[in-house]
Parts: sequence; C-alpha cells; structure tokens
Amino acid sequence: MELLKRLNESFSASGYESEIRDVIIDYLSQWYTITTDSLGNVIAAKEGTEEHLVFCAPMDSSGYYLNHEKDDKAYCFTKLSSASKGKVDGAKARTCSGIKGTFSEDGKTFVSDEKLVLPTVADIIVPFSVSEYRINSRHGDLYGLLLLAERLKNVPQEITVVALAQTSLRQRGAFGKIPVSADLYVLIELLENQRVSLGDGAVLCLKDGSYLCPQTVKEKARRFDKIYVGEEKPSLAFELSRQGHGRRVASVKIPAKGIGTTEETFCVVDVFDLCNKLTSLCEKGLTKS
Amino acid sequence: MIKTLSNAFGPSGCEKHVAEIIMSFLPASALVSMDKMGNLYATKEPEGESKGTIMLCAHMDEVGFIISEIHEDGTLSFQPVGGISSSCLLGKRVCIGETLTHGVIGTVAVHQLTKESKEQDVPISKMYIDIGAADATDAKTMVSVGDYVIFDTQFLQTETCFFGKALDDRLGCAAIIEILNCYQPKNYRLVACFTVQEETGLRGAKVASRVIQPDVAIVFETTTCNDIPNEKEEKQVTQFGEGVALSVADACTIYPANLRDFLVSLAERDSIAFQFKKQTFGGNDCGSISISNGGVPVAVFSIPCRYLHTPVSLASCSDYEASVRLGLAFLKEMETKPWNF
Repeated sequence: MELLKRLNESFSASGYESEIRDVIIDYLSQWYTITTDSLGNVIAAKEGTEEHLVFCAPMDSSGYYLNHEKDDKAYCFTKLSSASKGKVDGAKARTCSGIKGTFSEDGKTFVSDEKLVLPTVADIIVPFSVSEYRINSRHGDLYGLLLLAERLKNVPQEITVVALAQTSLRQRGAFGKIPVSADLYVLIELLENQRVSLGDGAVLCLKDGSYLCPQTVKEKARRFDKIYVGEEKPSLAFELSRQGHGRRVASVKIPAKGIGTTEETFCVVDVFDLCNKLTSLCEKGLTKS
Repeated sequence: MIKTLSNAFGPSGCEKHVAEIIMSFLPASALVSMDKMGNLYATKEPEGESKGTIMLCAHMDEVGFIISEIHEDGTLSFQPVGGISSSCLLGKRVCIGETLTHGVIGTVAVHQLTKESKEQDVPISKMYIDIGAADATDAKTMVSVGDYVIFDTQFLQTETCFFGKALDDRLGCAAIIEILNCYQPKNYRLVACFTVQEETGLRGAKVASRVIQPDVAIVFETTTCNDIPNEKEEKQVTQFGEGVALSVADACTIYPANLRDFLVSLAERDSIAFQFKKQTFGGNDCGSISISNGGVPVAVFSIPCRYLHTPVSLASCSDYEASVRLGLAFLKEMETKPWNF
C-alpha cells in the first residue's frame, strides 16, 4: 500500500502532474526505460520478442486555480477543467508549492492556513481526498497500471506503460508521444455507474458514447465476466483509438464512486482482480489467435 | 496597418483579402508561403545554425454570417459563422460578398411588438438583411446564396484605444507583423503563421502546426474583457489597460507552468505590464497546436478586448504594445536560453 499512499499524497492536478510523475518514474524505472513528452505523459518501455502491448491509465486529477486575491487574503478560484466536480465547501486543500489551506464553508474562496507564506494568483490547488490515503482513495486506475507493470516486467512481450497526463481536459494526454503501431492498447480507467458496484471486479467496456470495442478484443476477453455498455462522453478510449493510423484499444474499468470529487473511492480488490486477469491474458498472448 | 487589417473582409473560410494585406506588410527578409487550406506562413531562417523552430501564430478570420436564402421580396436570411449573439445585431450595417454590397439587419418594427416581446432577444432566424432590393430578381443581381457577410464598421484609433471590428484577431496579426519587421533570429528558425478558420473550430492551426513542427509556439490573441459595471472583480476575465494577459488554462488548453513562469520573469524584468486571465472559458489556436506532433509547449499573449464578436470591439493601445514587447523579449531570450519547456 506504500505505493498507493505515495500516489495519493502527490500533487496531480491536470497539467501540474510533476509530483506524481516523479513517483511513477521512480517506481517504473526499476524495470523500464523512461521517457516523457511535452504534454507530461510518462512512457515506460521494455523490450520483448513477441507482440507489442501498450497499457495506459490517467495520472491526473481535478484541480482549481487561484484567480483573484481579495482584500482579506482570501482567494477566489476557478476550475482547471470541467472534470472538477462536487462541492469543496470546507475541504482542506494545498497548492502546487505545498501551501496548505481550506476552502471556505460557502465554497467560494480559499484561505491559506499559513500566515507567513501566501499563495499567489495563478497557483493551482487540489482538495485533499476525504480519506487521504486509506484503501478507499484516488488513483485506482493508475495504481492498477503500476502494479500490472511490475507483474509484466519479465513477460516475453514488448511492453509499454503510459501514465497519461491532462486527461481531464479534452483527453489531451492521448495526443502525446505514445507508440503508434503496437499490437494492442489497453486503457485502464475508473468507472462510476449504478450498474457496477465496488467489489464487482474489473469490468470490460464494450461501448461508450463514442468508443466501440474491436471484435478481436471481445473474443480474447472472455475472462472478464463483468461487461459494461455505456453512453459516456467524452471518451479517452475513443481518442486513443483514433490517433495515428488507428489503434486497437481495449477499455477496462475499475468500479469507483465520486470520481472527480473529494470523496473519490475505489476498492483495491477490484484493482487486484484487474491485474490478475490482464496478467493471465498476457501470459497466453493477448493478440494471438 | 491595424486600420487596414481591421477593415478588411475576412470571415472564416474567406481570409484571402486579409492574407494579401498581411503579405504587403511583411518584411522582404521573410520567406512567404501558403498551404492549401489558406494558412499564410512567413519564415525567417537564422543567421547561423538552427537549434529548433519557434512558431508565432494569429488567426486571420473574423466572425460573420453567410447568406442562406433570398426571399421573394428581396430580403436575405442568414446564418452565423462563428459565435455571435443575436442581441447585438439589429439595425447594424453589414457588407455582403466580395463586392461589399451594403445592407442592414432588420426585423419586425418595434411599433409592431408587444410589451413582452420588446424585452426578448430576437433570434437570428427571425432577422433578415435588407439590401434595398425591389424583389428576389433584383437582389440576385447583387448577392448570391453562400455569400459571406461582415459587419460594416470603420476602424477608429484614439490616443489610447482602438475601436473596430475584427480586432479579434487582426490585433494579433498586427503584433506578429511588427515583430517580424524588427527582429531577425540568430540561431533558430522563426515561423509566423496567420491561420484560417479559428472561429469555427481552430481548424487552420491543426494543419499549420503539422506543417511547421514547432518546438515551442506563442499565439497572439485577444480575449474577453468584461470589466464593466455590475460585474464582480473576480468574474472579470481581464482588465482593460492592465497589460497583456497570460493564461493558466482555458477550455482547450492547460498551459505549461514553466513556460508561463519564464514569460512572467521576462515581463517583470523588462517592466512589461501583464495580468493573468481569471476564467477558463473560451479557447484559441493553442488548443490545436499544443496537442499536435506529440505535444508542443504553448503560451498565449491575449490583448483584453471589450465587446468581442460584435460590430465594434474596443482594445487598449498599451495592452497591444505590451504583447509586442513581450513577444520580442521572448524571442531574444530564446537565443540563449535552453529550450526545456
């Protein structure tokens, strides 16, 4: 759980992922060669002799930026992207430079807890998760990606692991320097829907508002006993699938609640289930007939 | 130059007149070219070996309308090209097509309206353009369905302000032209791009960025300035005369903090007035450029502009000058600074 704790303690607002990026690089560099791109994506690669598989998950979270300093040293703020949801009234928060503070009870201003060091206009702030770093917490998809990366470190396939930045604003991370011609891309994301519950296990998504699961993936993915068909937009899976000359993308989900709010929750059992299923599929060859 | 640019006919999809004007103001040292979409490029090669490419960008197009139908009585129905509110249209003079046929936007006379309907905005579908034609046959001798329409506004400059149509983004175009006329890169390739179809989905910049393959890009733009009565200060996107606006994020882009911090340090060093944009709505060509070629570091220099996308916008001369000065400071500093954004 140490890794999950580090992920949750790291600042990860969209476009301002440098702290969490360092944690990811520190973890993956034990087994993978690391590069980054201008959008902030981490691309970790391992050579292999068989099929080339790319595993992706978002690393960013919702955030706000301070846009106006009032006379009483309180700061007005605005959303960094529309993915910032729910209320932040009274929530604890911190800036990218580490200044801790509190959102006012009416949710309209942010006040620094520190008297000597004040934030400045244009600073980014993120609310703390309610549970901070307990099992029910944020970054379930990224946590799953990193655990999976460790498990796949010795498989014969060529593996690329991509932690995507800036996904909360128009799926911008999907436009980064991700390999263009891999055999299969597997996208891991959180899913909040009344048809899936925490503890259900990993879910295979066959369709959302714009993405359709390729037939070959459907046939290979019978291990996923939980299937999801939805209407969500925008779709990161769709954006990934239409870059370059087109990519074959499998979309797998981890059930979650309160995505984008201060009460985002997932269950580690579902993460382990996802890792088990994908590892097992990899051992058999994900794209072999 | 700004007057000529502001008065020019150039709605999205019909920017060739603006391109011709820009070409006439470009220095002879710039290599000029145009792509098939209509984006105009002015390239300055370095004096020495090149360490990369910097892209400057401003869009040539303006919001306008397109004629959708000619009625039996000679009046014209029209549809907007780009984002325009119907509330600013009634009674405004317009120019239609490349022959610049004059017309006025009309609707039912105020005397015929009920008390309730006087309070409501008239939708564009209930407005028409009147060119004084006797009937459809007469109208067709002057205009055609598909003709573009722009506001008929003449530019005016006072000691401190610009008044005119299409300041979005002819001010950006003018700023880049000024920079090209007084700056020669020493060790990098400088490509200025004047894009098409920004107002209808940042389309030209998508192509331009693939053509140029920049290492870093600066977009010169205008932005909302709503420092008007009854608007709370924290809701004001920018403030008039307070300097060039830098962005943290908008509806299309999250701007790299290290590039923004670098620009802030230059502005502070050279006493160039700047401000931060306070809201995230709206977007610009950065949205397309920043996600091209696997990701490009971008920044936008926005000139605060009141009444954008209306017949007359208002901008401050000092804010315009600040954007030019910051552009020049950036380009000069990039000769020696490591490009690690």
